[in-house]
Amino acid sequence: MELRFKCPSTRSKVMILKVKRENYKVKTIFFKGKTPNPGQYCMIWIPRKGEKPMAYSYIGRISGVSVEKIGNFTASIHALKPGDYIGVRGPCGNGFSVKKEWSEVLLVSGGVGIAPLAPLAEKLRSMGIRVKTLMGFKTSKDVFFLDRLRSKSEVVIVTEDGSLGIKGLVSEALHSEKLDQYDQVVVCGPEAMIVSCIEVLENKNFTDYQVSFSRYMKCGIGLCGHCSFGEIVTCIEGPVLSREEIMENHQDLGVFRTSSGRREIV
Amino acid sequence: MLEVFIGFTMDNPTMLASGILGVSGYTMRRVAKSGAGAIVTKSVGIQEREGNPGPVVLEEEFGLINSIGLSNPGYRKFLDEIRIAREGGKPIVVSLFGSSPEEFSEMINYLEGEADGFELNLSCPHVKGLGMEVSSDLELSEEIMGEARKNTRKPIFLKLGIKNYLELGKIAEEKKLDGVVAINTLPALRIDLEFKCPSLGGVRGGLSGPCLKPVALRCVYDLYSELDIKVIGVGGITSGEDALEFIMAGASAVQIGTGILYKGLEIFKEVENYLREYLRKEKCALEDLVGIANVG
Ligand SMILES: Cc1cc2nc3c(=O)[nH]c(=O)nc-3n(C[C@H](O)[C@H](O)[C@H](O)COP(=O)(O)OP(=O)(O)OC[C@H]3O[C@@H](n4cnc5c(N)ncnc54)[C@H](O)[C@@H]3O)c2cc1C
Ligand SMILES: Cc1cc2nc3c(=O)[nH]c(=O)nc-3n(C[C@H](O)[C@H](O)[C@H](O)COP(=O)(O)O)c2cc1C
Ligand code: FES
Repeated sequence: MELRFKCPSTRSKVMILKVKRENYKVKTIFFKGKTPNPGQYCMIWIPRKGEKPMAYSYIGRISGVSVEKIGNFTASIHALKPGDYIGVRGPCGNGFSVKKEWSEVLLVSGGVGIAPLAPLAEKLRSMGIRVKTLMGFKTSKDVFFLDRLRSKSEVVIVTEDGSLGIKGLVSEALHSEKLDQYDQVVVCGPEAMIVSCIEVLENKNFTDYQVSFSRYMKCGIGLCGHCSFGEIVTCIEGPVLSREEIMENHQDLGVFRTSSGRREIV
Repeated sequence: MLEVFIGFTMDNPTMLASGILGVSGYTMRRVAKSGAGAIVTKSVGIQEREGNPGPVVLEEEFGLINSIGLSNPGYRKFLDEIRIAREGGKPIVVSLFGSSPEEFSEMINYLEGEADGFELNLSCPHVKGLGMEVSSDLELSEEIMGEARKNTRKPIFLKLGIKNYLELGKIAEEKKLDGVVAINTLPALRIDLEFKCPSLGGVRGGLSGPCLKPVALRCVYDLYSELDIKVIGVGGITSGEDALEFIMAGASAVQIGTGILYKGLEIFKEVENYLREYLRKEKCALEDLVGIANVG
């Protein structure tokens, strides 16, 4: 039977065309597939290792995902070489919403959250929309995609230890921004960073924003319910949520569900 | 008009099947608001379980194979989810799995205050030592049912798989359970030819969706003709007609799981509206239809 949503239901076997090291813990793998929109993700399957969601960081005839090594599965991705095969199911999810009448957009990233925002910046620029990016990282070693973003937007870089750019949290940089000039603010990063950014935006009564969440995903087809943010099933209805959706489900902000389904407050 | 009583009252005979959108109280609340007559939670056990590595699902033309692997936060942590799910205003049936009578009584005692009923999952086909492997042992199953019954007066349903379903159904009746739910997924597996390995991360899985319907109907039919307790039908329901087929075979209520994949949450309203219209046209009550096609 036909699926109700547009996620492809089958995994395709694709060859790794290229592997690029972005920094000491982030690598990008490139492969061919259907062209995604910025903010969409795919399920990457490495046989016998697992299947996990990754946002597209490069978009085009050849797509890429940029992966931070934080555990077993991401380590397996890092071990891939050009010529190796993986299974990919994607593009999945909604992606960022973009309006052509916008004139200026502010992107706010925390850590590897810059991955889906980079192709978004490129798309916005190609539409003639001005972009400014606030990029937050723990330390200068973690920084990646800086030149890529600089070529498309005005960049403010923030590190927690001050080793590069402004010292502090990216949410503090957001607080210092005059927001009136932006048609839209787009946030992507870890849950704790999302929570503080939303707090800043709401305190400034700024409501034109969207956030890309990364909840724990298992099935990626809207059945298991693991990835939920409040009542929203983020794997098919997200991962990008509007302010309205976030506010309607705000009780689940800052709550992360582990692989067992246990809630953890971040 | 569509009200049914299966130990508690539901405003219509559709229920959310266990394991689908049943991890979080909020998603269960949403399904309740979308029109399901009752909600069955994800199966929970004594201990937290992470479940299987991915892929955990495989979609096929004829249905779905899953190997989620009974991931759950453990019954204690689940209490909050049940509380949130209740806000949907529909009865909440808590699905439990375990391997001994003591485990079931411990969980029932703890959750009883928040649950409107329990479903004993003795039939998950893909987790070692749990589910189906428990129901293969009729004596153990009998002890579990007896112990569960001793610990609560709330409705208890036994979730059956294909294995021993009639024998287990009879034991459920003897042990004064309120009903049986048929059926759970069937044991399944696929091989990925390109990668030369099992298609699912957990290797073994359970088959659900349209291809399950005739098998489930047969079970429901047999159970209805042999038992006096309620039979709840589940397996491959994707439309009002499917639900009616289960009802005519003997189901007092139906559960929907994989159907959500094809129809979205609107499926509950779709089934409800179909049944309402059918009853209006046929000028009969729902209970007149239960088992009407069952000639024994
Ligand atoms: C829509 C979406 C897009 C993502 N995009 C990227 C990306 O572009 N780059 C990137 O490096 N990471 C991305 N992630 C996170 C990535 O999926 C996890 O880092 C990865 O699964 C970790 O697996 P592991 O085995 O290495 O780590 P583990 O040791 O298993 O887990 C480490 C942490 O990773 C997270 N995690 C683990 N499994 C999952 C899962 N199935 N779903 C979501 N989070 C998980 C949890 O927070 C966990 O605590 C994305 C997640 C989602 C939901
Ligand atoms: C993803 C998924 C997870 C499931 N998890 C459970 C579970 O935890 N407990 C249980 O009793 N049944 C579980 N089931 C089985 C369903 O409740 C149901 O019996 C089966 O899927 C057949 O119905 P369907 O064809 O409408 O999905 C699960 C099914 C699926 C597809
Ligand atoms: S990951 Fe299973 S419902 Fe979203």
